[in-house]
Amino acid sequence: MKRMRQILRTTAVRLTLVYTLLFGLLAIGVVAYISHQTGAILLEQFQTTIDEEVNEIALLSRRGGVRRLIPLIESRSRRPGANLYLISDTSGRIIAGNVRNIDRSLLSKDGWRIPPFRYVGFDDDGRKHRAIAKVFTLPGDLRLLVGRDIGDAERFRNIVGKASTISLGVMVLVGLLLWFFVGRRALKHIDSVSQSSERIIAGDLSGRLPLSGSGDEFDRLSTSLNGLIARVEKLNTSVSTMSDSIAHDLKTPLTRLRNRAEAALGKPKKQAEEALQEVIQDADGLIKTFNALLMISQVESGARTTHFEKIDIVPIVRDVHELFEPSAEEIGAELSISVEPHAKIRGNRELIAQAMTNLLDNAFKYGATAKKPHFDLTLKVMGKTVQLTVNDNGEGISKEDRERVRDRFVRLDTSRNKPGSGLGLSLVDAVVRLHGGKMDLDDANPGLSVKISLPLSD
Amino acid sequence: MNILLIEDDKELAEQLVTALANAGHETVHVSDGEAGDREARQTAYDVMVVDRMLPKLDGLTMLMNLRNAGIKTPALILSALAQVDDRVTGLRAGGDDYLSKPYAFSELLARLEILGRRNDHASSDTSVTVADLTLDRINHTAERAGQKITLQPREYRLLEYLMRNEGRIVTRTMLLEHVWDLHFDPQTNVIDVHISRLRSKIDKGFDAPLLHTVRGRGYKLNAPALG
Repeated sequence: MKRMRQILRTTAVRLTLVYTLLFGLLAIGVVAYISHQTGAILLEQFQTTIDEEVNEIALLSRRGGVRRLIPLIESRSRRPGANLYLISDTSGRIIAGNVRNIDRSLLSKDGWRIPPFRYVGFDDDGRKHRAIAKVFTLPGDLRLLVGRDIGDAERFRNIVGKASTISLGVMVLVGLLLWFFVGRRALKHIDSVSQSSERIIAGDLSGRLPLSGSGDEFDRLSTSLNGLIARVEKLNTSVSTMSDSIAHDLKTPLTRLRNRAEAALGKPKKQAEEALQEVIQDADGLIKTFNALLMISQVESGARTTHFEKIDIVPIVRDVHELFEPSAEEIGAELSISVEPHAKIRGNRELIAQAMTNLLDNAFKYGATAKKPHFDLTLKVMGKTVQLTVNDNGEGISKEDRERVRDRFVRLDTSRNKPGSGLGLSLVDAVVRLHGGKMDLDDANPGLSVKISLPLSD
Repeated sequence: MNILLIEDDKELAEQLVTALANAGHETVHVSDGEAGDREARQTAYDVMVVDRMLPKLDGLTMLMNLRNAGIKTPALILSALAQVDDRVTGLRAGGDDYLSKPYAFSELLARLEILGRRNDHASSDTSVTVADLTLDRINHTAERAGQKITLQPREYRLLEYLMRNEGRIVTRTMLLEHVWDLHFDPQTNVIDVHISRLRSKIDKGFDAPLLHTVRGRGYKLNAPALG
């Protein structure tokens, strides 16, 4: 019962009911019109036939007199499917014809008897039939009635009516049944979709909405919703991976900080002060990590909020090169720079500078192990992009790790012992993507080559 | 220094007041924009610390109103938002420096001390002198105890900034900001290398060093204590 009510509540079923009702009314109208028109046409035909016959008989009676008229009427009366004929005298006594009994008042005056009247014929057992007729007066004061039984016409009309009613009924019934099943199927589908949705809402993001495989609109809707869920699942996974790594990577320095502070508690003043300095350094490191994290997520979410302007990227590269030059000198490395005079892009100077700084910082960190370390900073304009390359001749990154290092907090085993947060390349990647460019990691043979392509501004 | 702190986070404000007191500063704390506006108009503070998001009147609007009213008290804006463009917006509204949370207290202190006394050596002076070191602002050269020191353009700017803020700690971030015009945390030791280069030029061969490293905080240039 509840299910029935649910079905009745579906749009499909409601529409069906409305359509059926409208269609039914229309069909009833059509049937009524057809049977009415059929009746009218037949009646008109009958009248014409009767008129013709009346004229013919009138002509004959004028020519041959009443004596010859009576046998003529008798013979016509006997023909199969004959019209109605009746000749009576003024008293209403029937003289000839194929009518056994009739309301005598019908013969009282000339003219049409159109609303059908009842009569009893000879050929059957006294059942009354209905007919229309015309009455006129023959010479010799006789009355002649020529008429037509309308039973056939009425039967015909009934058949049309009944056939229409039956087909209409069947149509309505089939329609209702059809929509009942369609509605039930739709409901079933929607039910299963909402059950799956509830599971997904409850937290099982690996679930997907069911597909019937028919490729209908439900399937299309489910497919796009599944796409949506997949995207949410991916985001969710990356968020939880991220918070896992944040928790993990911050736990170590926090624990270290705590232990140092605890150890400082018992020490004499001088040593305690030194220990506290270390605590402060650890805390500063943590703050830096947090700032870097914040920066990355702001850059990643900031596509619309970050203010971009037309900037020349070459001076930025020169500045960063200059910033690192003494560091190169200190470790006895060569830091070369090769740039074009200008390269204008739409972007944010601070972000580009920071990205460049991170790249050089990485290069120095991992490239300094080479025997004769050298770092190359190149900027080339190629068509509509500017390509920035930072090369070192250190150990490089193996092919399988090159994608991974873009992710936050990813630090390769070889670099675990070096200072750093594992956020440097993530920020570069985010900045480059914010500027509509891409970052590729490659082999510098030996060493790492980081290539950044940014779209030039016109 | 007299410091006006406008910050709605009670706990953070208390900590700051205590820490600033330990560093020898007197702090008045108010916790909304309207009170901050009133207080800044009534008393001439050396410097004010303005949180961006404040109840009643937000920090930037308050600051803009004050600047329009001719109140020139140097202001450091604190913000939990660290959007890339926030610093620019903050400085445009009339802020003199900008720091985003989370920050190290030493960073805040260093910046406040420099903001509060930034007119010690007006930038219009043609030279700055600390002990026997003199910086010629016209020729961009330096001299120590009569010996000429040649400076690269960047070294000149670095030394000028350090000398202008004689006796006060400057952090690495501040140096990167004022000498290189780059506004981010240097995660590297690049600044240290620049400093050691500069040190080799101004301190090497002299008895008393002028340029000191303050562990965990930054650098300080000052005259050697007498005796």
